[in-house]
Amino acid sequence: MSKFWIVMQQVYKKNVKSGSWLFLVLSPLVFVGIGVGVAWFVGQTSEPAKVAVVSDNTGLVKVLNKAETADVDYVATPAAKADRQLTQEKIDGVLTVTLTPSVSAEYVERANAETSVDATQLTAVLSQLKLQQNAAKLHLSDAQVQSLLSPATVKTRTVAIEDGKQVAKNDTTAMVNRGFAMLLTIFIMVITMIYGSMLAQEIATEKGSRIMEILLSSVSATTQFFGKLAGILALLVTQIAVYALVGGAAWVWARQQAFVKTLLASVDLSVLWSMTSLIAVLFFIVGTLTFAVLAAVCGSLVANQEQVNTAVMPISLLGMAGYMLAFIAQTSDAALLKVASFIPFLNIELMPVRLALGHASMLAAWLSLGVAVAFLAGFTVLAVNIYRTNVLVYSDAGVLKGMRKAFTLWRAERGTKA
Amino acid sequence: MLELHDLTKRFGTMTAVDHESFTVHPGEIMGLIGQNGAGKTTTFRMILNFLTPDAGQVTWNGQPLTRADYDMIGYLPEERGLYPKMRVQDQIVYFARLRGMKTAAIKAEIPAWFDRFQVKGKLTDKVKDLSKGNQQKVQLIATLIHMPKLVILDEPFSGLDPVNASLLQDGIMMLRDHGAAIIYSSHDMGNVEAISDHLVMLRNGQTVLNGTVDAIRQQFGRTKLFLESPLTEAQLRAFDGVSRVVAHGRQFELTLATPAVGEQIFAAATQSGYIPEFRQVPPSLDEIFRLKAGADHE
Repeated sequence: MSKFWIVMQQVYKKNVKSGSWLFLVLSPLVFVGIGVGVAWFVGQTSEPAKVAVVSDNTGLVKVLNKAETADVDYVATPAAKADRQLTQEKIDGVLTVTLTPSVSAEYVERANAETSVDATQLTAVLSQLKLQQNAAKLHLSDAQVQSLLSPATVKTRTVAIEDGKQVAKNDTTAMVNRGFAMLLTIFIMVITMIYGSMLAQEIATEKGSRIMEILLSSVSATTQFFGKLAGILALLVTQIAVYALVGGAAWVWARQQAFVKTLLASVDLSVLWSMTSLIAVLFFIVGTLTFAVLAAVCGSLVANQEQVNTAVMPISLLGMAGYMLAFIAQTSDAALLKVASFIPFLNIELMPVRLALGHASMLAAWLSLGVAVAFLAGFTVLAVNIYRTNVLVYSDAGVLKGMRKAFTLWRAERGTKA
Repeated sequence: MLELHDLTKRFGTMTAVDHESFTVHPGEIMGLIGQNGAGKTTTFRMILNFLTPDAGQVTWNGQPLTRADYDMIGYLPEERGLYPKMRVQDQIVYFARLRGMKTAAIKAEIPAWFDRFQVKGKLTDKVKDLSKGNQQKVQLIATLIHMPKLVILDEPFSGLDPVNASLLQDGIMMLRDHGAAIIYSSHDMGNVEAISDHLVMLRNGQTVLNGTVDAIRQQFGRTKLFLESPLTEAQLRAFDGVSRVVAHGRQFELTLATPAVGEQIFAAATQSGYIPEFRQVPPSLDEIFRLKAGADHE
């Protein structure tokens, strides 16, 4: 097996068994699990409201039960019994419907009823009934009734201005995109910060404990650098895979649940399968890599393990800066944001949000992504060089002095190689 | 065969190693001595390719050392490091795999090495739970288990008690007998004298001594005289060529400016027959070390 794989495997195996990584992966699952569990449990335990229907028409109960989507159970009951049951709090309400001369109703509900009946819906059902009754009286045909009922149509179209053109974009698309971009920003920030500091910690520990020298005498610094990077990314992929698996399983279950069904009906999730999403995902990949490379450089700067926290500071700062800008971008589209969305490190969180909000054009997003990729490539080459020099420099005077020392050494090394 | 040809390394204006040359043959142990900052670690780092020399080159069997040679190197850095939370066996396996060994072969070899260095601890113990001495042994095993052809040990004896130091000596000699070229640095001249075939001493990057232990000592001449005789301190001081007299009870330790004066002292001391001690020897490595290291301050 090549040494790259041995290093990668080692980083992966060591961390995948570590408590902190397991906590990182499992804690969101546990929280979401508890949340869903509680919601489901509450849904299970609340019984449908029981409403007694007092009416001459026996078919009415069927019509009501069919029209009612909420949890109301209509039961045909004689008037005297209904009144008794209500007094005994066995039922939640009594609906008295009179069909002649025209449809009218009275609904009496217990003030402390667990589930309340939606009066609007009830009215709608009964209005329909009344309409049919009137139509029959007037001897109208079905078509006439239909035409009478058809409302005026109002078509709504939402457009975004991209490249000076109007581009169709409906409200749900915008909403889903915005939500997706915001979630993604948080996800990018959390992932880059956690995995970044994980990688920095990994390298700093090896350097601080002088394991680095042994490793360097067996594996080239470059192989080691990329091996570690790959190991950390493999951890990230594992985490995402775990979420995808759990998410998939949960989806199969959730699809059967009534409240999810109603939710899905109102939101068109197919818009997630858009160019905006693709760009966001690409930014996520490039961003994670960029921050990981930065983390490796930061980790290689320390001389002992106490300095690790100082060394990971740039990661946190840049991550937070991008996040804050993305947050500001929700309400403003200032020139600062326009410029920042092309600046490496900041653009990773900022650009997807601006694109989703319609503040930036698709072309600008691709350009910014191009900048990010080009920067990543250049930065990686530079980072490998810094890393190679840094890992041998020990300065107890602090990270900054260490950096200066590393630079001197790097120059000396470059001079000899040239 | 490891050869260093005229190696020079500068850091800014400071010359860390200046025109250093030496050769280590297979089956030979070379001691690299010198004070802190003399250039020992820089020398090792240049051999290991961590640093690029400004001038000169390092060759292994006539070829520059490349990545392909990494697997036959065993390197113990001056400051030891292991993963504290890793199990002993996993630790050794990881390092040895990086030297190209197969996991099964490593696991088969570990018990023999544990015996050799008398490691107290289980393979499943975490490194941090071992005593410091045992951690050091684990590190040595990780350095040597792949039977390297070129062994570089930076201060391997530091922190070891005499029993463990002699275990390490045995280990080093075992590798030498298997044909490894071994180079190590040390402050302890006792160890150096006991196992080195060859010695190089650095001072401020300059090679001040280079040769076999015996030849180096001889080149200083028999300037040390240990004497127990009827002669008094005053009488000894009166000899021309005696630069220093130190009394240890009835025994005197003389430092001679010219070794030839020994003959006169011998004649005078044995005038009335038997004396218990007359020993004229070259200075010990320790004295040479002090002499050479101190030369700068004079």
